[in-house]
Amino acid sequence: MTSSWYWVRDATTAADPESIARAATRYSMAHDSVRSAMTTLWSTDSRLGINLVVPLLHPVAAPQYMAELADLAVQIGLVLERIYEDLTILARGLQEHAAHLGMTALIYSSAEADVTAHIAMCRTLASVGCFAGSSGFTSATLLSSLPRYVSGMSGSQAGDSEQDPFTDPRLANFSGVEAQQQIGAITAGAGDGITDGAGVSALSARLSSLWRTLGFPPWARTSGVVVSGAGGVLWGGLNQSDHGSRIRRVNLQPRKLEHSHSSFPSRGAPAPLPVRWAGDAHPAQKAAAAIMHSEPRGILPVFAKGPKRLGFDGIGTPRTAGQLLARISHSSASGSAGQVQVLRHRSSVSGLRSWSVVISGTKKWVPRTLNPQDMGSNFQELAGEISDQHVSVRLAMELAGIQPDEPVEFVGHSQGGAVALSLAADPEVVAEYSVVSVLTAGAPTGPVMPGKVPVLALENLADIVPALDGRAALVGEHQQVVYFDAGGLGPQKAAGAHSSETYVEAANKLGSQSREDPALRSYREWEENRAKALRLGGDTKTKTLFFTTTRVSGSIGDATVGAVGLPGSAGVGTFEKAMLASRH
Amino acid sequence: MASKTGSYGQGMFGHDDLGSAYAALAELDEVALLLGALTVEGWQGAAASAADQARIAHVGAVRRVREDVRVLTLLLQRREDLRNLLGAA
Repeated sequence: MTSSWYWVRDATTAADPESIARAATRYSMAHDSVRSAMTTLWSTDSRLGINLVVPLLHPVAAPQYMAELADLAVQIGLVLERIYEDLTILARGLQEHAAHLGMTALIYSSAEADVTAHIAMCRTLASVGCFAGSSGFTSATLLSSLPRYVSGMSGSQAGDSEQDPFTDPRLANFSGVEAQQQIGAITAGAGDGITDGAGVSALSARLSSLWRTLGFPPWARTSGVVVSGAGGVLWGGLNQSDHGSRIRRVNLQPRKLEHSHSSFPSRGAPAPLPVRWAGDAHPAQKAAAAIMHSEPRGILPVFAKGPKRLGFDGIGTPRTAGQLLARISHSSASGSAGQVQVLRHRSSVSGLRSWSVVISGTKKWVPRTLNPQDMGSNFQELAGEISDQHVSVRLAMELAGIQPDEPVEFVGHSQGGAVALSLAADPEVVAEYSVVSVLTAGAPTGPVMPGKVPVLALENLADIVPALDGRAALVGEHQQVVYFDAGGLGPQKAAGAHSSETYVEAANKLGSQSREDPALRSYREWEENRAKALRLGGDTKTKTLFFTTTRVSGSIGDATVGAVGLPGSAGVGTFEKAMLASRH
Repeated sequence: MASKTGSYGQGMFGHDDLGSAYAALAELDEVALLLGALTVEGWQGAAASAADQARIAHVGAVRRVREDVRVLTLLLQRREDLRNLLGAA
């Protein structure tokens, strides 16, 4: 007995959630009937022994009757045993299929943003046992649950800040689904009387505001990030003015960057920061010095060792979604630094290049850390802001030397997926690069979705992280979401609901099945189109560039400005001062 | 529990067993009808064919079990007949 373990939602999918919910209900009824049949037969079984004994007590029973009765008893026993076994399997299959259909109906229903219908469906399915997690779709439900999620995410447990709460087995499966529904329901405004798509959007903004409130004060105003690798160091951050690029950057290693290509061609390479390196340096310089002279976990780039050691690592070219996602596990991070991988694909025949920007997920489950891959960036992303990790990736792309006409794709897991989408939807990025594809895994994709870039989003139904944006992922002509049940991969994968390994295995299995399953045609086409857009051929060789990222500690107006000799005009932040200095 | 006394009450001769088996058969017929009538109307593209395959597999499983229950009714009927012969002896 097999049942579907994945569902695709894209522009070509036509689904009637009500119809699917009706099917789920009927499967549930069929399950009840089978259980009833088992109970009925059980009464037969329980009497069987007695009925065998009774004839033996007959005073004049003929021996031939007795022999046949004994033989019948054996046959009846064997048949009953077989029936019980088959009915047990059948009942379980019907129950699981009812649950799968119920969940499918809920997914399609929630994607339609018809809150009234969605809530009604949740309740209907719960009443027939197709979905056990919908016992209370009220604001109070989420608010009572929220501290658990927030405390888990903020790593409030002593010494536990490295633990990814979403891979905690205690939150797997049911809890994950339950949380998705709770968060989705509160965002959809169940209890607030808002029943249309506009209301959903408005309440999603409220949820984003909640994340912002939790995450911003007082630590959001950092002095940007420093990124090093491929022979250069850049300091970047959000522009404080509304003019020009939203992201400004300062070259902290001008001598190296002379050999680098700038991906901001219209504005030219960033000018060097006229500061000294040692002594009472500016926080950005301290950050740069720290990551230049450290080798956490042995894989971060150390360009100081010379131009031949630029962090390049020859690898096999990732040709499928699974192979691409597998690169994420090669990223590393420490408490004070994160990492961005940029894969450079190059044809040994034509010399043409293309790029994969690999963005891993949250590494620090608290905000206000030096590693941009922390909860601070999560809150920024969910609030629809440009996150520090977003800035980090853009700087890494510039240092990698990605040219405007070279195809580039973004791939990310968890926070990395959200950043990948925000990059692909960023008008500045689209204008400066040839973005051809996005792949996300276990990422909250709701707030943004690029218009024309092909997107494949993978979401494990038991993973609560994709629901943290509080809305269904947008789909369109070029975007598709593939939901899957990690239970289809085995119990161990079901437990690691949010782990990147689970997504890698799911992608590999989906890729394999897509060759013969018409339901996965769009998945197969995404993989084919990606390889074509990136010009990946048999002659393609791939190398990895690792970039180290770190936040610049200190705040705007930091007193150390004077120590590095920057002009100290009143009312202008440290970063702006540095920018002003770099122009002179 | 009166059966433990060795009573020859009617229930002891398997009338209820046969009735239970026929009742189970009727329930399985109901399940087969229920699943057989299920359609995936309004559900095209993704997962529709997979859902239909699952439905067909479930219907097949129901039919297999139903056949076993039918065999059970035949066996119980034969036992009933033998007991009637015993009763007449």
